[in-house]
Amino acid sequence: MKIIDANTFFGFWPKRKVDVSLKKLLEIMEKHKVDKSISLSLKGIFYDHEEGNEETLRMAKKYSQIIPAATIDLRKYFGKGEIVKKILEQGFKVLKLFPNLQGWPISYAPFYRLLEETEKFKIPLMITIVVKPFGFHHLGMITEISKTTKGLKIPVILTSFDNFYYPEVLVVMKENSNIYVETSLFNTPDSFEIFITEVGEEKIIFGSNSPLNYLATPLICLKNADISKKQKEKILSKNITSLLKKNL
Amino acid sequence: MKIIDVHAHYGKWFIPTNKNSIKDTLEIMRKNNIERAILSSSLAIIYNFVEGNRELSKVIEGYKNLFGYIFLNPNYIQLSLKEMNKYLSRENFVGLKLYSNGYINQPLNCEGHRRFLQLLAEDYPEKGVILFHCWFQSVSQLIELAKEFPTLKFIMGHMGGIEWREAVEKAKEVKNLYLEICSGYPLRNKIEDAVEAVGVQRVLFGSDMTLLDPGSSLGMVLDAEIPSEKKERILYKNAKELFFK
Repeated sequence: MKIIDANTFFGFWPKRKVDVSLKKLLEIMEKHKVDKSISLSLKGIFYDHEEGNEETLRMAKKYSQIIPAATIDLRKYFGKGEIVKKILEQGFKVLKLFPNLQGWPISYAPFYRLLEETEKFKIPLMITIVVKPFGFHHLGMITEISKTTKGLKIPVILTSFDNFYYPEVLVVMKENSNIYVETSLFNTPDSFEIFITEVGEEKIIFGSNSPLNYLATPLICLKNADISKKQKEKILSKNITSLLKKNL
Repeated sequence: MKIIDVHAHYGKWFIPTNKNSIKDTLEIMRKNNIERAILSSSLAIIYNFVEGNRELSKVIEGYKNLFGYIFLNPNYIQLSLKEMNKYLSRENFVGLKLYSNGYINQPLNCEGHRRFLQLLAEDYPEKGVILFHCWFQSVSQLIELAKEFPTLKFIMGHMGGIEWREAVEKAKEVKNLYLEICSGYPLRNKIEDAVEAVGVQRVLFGSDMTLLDPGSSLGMVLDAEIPSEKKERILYKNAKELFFK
């Protein structure tokens, strides 16, 4: 079965000792037979999004397994108007945002402005949810995201949220058809079963948060889920392929 | 590879999951090649410990692959001591499960827990294994207890949770302390770091099922960059030596 991992990184992780180099990511992908990964340089999250995005593009050109994701640090953004257009022209396929890692709220004027840009230029958004340190939940954040993005046509993919968020995510997905979920913290087979029953398999995108997290965890939970092979195929690659409207 | 799961639960949770019955637990064990599991009651942890322990004792009765931890509430010391005497004489109850903070509003090193450990060490030394929930602000408290009761074996649930790096460091010198790995956050290198710090003999497989699925912890062990003999130790042999000699 073809696998596209929609949530990976490479670079350096300053918060604990772990090898998150591109070499390690590629090695893990090979081990688990992951065909392609949507990935970005961590430099873009922690240091400077322009430098990080350049590094991501360079690596994506060198390694065909890498689908480049851009990021924008909204602490440095004040609505220049053309940044999303530029990102698309450079060849990025998706825009990833990290409000909790960078410490900006959803109710934040630069975020509203960026949404206008993303809607105008049609690039899918991925928003990372989990707050550091793990285990402290920011309930209500997803409701805010839903309110803020309601009516937009671009897909909004919620990434890295655990089971404490499921009720909130499920409710907003039923109210807001452009919201999708990524699976890196789906830590039970019935997570997949519940989301399929409630919102359909088309809304679920496989991701692992590798190489920060062990890739085998969401993969084993998906494998053990009581769902059909066709549904697994959609989650593992077809949904993201269709969302990005590209033959990946 | 065979597996013994030292951190499992029976009962419902406050999150959506549809795997609550003992039949579900047995099916999950079969799927993941888990030979034996040691469970505590979610009803006991979240609400009424006497009712939860009683329910657990009923559902595991007759199963050779299911074992129980008694859950005790330090806000009810006398009642908890009675629970110990009621269940620890039974063959299929193999130790204690203790908690801190949220559900019981007590730290791990509270007076009640000390009383339970005292009784365990004196009257039930052959059942002297305790699984502590350890997620936040409790690593130092558990280390303190482990040093105070050197004849008992302490399992640090979730490997200290968000304090896992501190836990791994502090556990190095405390030889009666084991690290149990389950977590909803399968951070890479956790297993390798734990093995390097305390030695593979003191790392144990737990799943937290049915709050989590065993696949979560299993993925961590299978992906860890350690030799397969060490994986076998974590998944099976260490728990066998600790509980089922």
